[in-house]
Amino acid sequence: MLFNSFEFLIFFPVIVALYFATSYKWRWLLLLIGSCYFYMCWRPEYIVLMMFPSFIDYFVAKKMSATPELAIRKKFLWVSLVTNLGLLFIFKYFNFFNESLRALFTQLNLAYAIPAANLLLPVGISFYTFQTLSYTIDVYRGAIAPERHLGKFALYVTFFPQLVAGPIERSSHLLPQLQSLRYKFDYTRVVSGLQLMLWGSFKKVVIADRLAVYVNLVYNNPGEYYGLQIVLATAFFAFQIFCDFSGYSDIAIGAAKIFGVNLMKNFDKPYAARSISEFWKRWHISLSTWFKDYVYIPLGGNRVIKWRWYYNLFLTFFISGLWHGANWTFIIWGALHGFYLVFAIITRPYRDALLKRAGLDERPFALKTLQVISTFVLVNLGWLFFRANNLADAMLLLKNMFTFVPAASLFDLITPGALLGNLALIMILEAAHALEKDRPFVLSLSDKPMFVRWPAYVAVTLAVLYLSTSAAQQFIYFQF
Amino acid sequence: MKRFLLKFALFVGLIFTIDFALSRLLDLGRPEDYAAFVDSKKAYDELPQIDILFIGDSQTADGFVPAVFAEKLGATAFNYGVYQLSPFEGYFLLKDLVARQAPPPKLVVLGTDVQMFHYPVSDGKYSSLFIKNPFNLAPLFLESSNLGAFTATGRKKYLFGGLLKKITTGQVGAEVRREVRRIENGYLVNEKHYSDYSQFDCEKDRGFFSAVPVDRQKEYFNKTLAYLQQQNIPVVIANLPMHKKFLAGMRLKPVYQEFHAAIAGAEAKYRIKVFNANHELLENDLQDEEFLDGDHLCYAGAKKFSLAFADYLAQAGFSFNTLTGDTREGIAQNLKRKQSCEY
Repeated sequence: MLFNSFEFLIFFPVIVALYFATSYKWRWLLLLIGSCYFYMCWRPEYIVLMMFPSFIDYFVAKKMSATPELAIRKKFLWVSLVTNLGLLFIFKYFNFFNESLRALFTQLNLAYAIPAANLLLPVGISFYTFQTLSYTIDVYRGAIAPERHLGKFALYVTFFPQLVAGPIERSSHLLPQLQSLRYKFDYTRVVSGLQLMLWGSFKKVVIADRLAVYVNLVYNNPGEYYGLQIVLATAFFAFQIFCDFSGYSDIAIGAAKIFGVNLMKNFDKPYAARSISEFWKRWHISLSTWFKDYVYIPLGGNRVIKWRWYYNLFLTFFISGLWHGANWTFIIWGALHGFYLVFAIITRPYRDALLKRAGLDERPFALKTLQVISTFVLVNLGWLFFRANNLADAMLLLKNMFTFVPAASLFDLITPGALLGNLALIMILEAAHALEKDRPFVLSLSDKPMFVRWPAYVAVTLAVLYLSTSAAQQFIYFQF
Repeated sequence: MKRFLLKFALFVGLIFTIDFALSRLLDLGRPEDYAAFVDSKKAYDELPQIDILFIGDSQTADGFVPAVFAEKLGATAFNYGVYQLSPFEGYFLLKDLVARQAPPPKLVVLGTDVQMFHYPVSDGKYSSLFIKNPFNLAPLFLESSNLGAFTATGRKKYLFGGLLKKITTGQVGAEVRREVRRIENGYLVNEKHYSDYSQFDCEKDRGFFSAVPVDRQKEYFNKTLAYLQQQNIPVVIANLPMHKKFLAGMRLKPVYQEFHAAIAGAEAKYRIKVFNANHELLENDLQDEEFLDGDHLCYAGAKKFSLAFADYLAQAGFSFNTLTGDTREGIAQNLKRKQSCEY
């Protein structure tokens, strides 16, 4: 079920009404049934695929906590890792590795007979797999106690607001909240939740889906566009993917808030980042902290020799790229970010000296502007690989971006009116970010008088209803 | 909670009120041919019996002249061609139309567009204005996940640009593409012809179609045929003429081969007749000025095409007795007078 669908418009109020009408004791069951229904709307049989590893993790965690012996605990952890990552590999990566091997064997004139598997990628598999893995790893480390209630653990895995595209919650944060669910109807909290949902819908339906029209045009016909056309489409994609994914996160956080559950922040004005390292503290925070806690630090983090540190950084981002999808474009995107970070560390003293020589260290605004712009450009280069349908398309787009074709006008891609309209939408987004202080701008509306608040609600609601494109787009991160 | 529910109800009420008001405001800014197009379909529910129902997209809307079928076959015909109607939308619209006529039409003619399987699954654009049963309308919202189609203004949002232009410049809002003389049983009598040759260029992207075929459109085209068979309503698929220059370009495109493969598949599966199967009919007989543009006929061309189709129906053994004998012409004229108005 899509958040931006008619079904959700019916489903959500019904489940909220039932939630507050149900006694505290049984709310977990209601949310579990609702979450399963939410997921089964897509493909009913795949619920088994989600529940099976959840049961394994539930029992494995109980067994781990029952023994103090590290060797036994480790064996149980391996059961969890093999089950979760095995299923993820089969459904998400098998065909990719199989095809890559086939290509390699063909190059070497060797026979290769393993056929492709005809499997549909389960929606959200990467998200719920990482969420359950964090649980078993935390239990293994002794950081948390195992959940004794199977139903509540199942709800932790399936909780519908964040099931298919995050934020990837930690058990230490989400499980305690799901254990009691003793929340009375709180006017302020419900209104805050609805504000976030409305703002998330605006970002997704109005901004992301409209920008997608031009992005798709260029990226689905890479040989037909040049220079500024590709630059504009890539910059549009940067805002499309931000609005798409952060819009989803806002809706998820808002929906959970209405039930009294607080989900973690997933985005923090990422395009205001002054470096790639800062970008990753602001973009998809739940995933980047997951990789930091469960991959980067276990590899040794930065408390190792220099070359090993570089390797740890690069490998973490390489795996992050692979997490996003079984395609070389994602792997290169991840590797590129790994490279940026390593390169930034190596060149730091030289860059500092250069900035000093240019006098920029005494002009903080100019320095910040330069840093924000250069980070945005580097991030966009990564997005080009991320969005391209395949590696050949990415290379063609990269080549055509620097090819000057006099006949290829920007206005062949987009009319001046549409360009202004889309830029205005981006300006609205950035203005909201600029006005943001300690909480999302939309939440601060509650402090405003009614004559400001209500017109704002009405305007955003009507924009969501009227300015949507004729065919709704699925959330980009659903495919991961 | 009471406070919240009260405020929420007030908010929803406010949204519906503003939506209604904006919808009316859009009507003020709509171009003349749009008004005529929307009005033209109102007669459908007033007719006691419809023998032939034409349904399809703008090519169908511009291609069949009901009066020709009254005069040649004695049949009450109604043109329910709806601009940008995709097979997906057409399925729900047809179900709605069949249920609204008792007895149902004696023959349904599905007008085609070579690119119809490339229409995105959309909110229906115009079609949602004509579907009356909410159970037929709801799937358009559900399948397209477009909440805008749920509102009165959302359904007319393609008039935004025109209204904005009218407000800012005072000029006629959206472009008037058809100079409508009168309406005849759903058909807009239009004699306008674009002499600009870019209008005959099949490479021109009008922004309506997806680059790749949309499987759901083929699925719903077949569902439409299955539905008609289930209702025991005979059906003929009719391929509309294209300007020879436009057709020549189209024949080189994969979309043309895909279209013919899909139609051939449906023809074999449902054993239905296909008129003008290879788009060769009148290919060299229709003159430039008989076209509105590359793939739409104007009145003169539509009359010629309708005559050929009426002959085909007569030869194929279709008989309609609603308008018979000497009164045929007179009734046809009366009907025309009753169901038409001058524009």
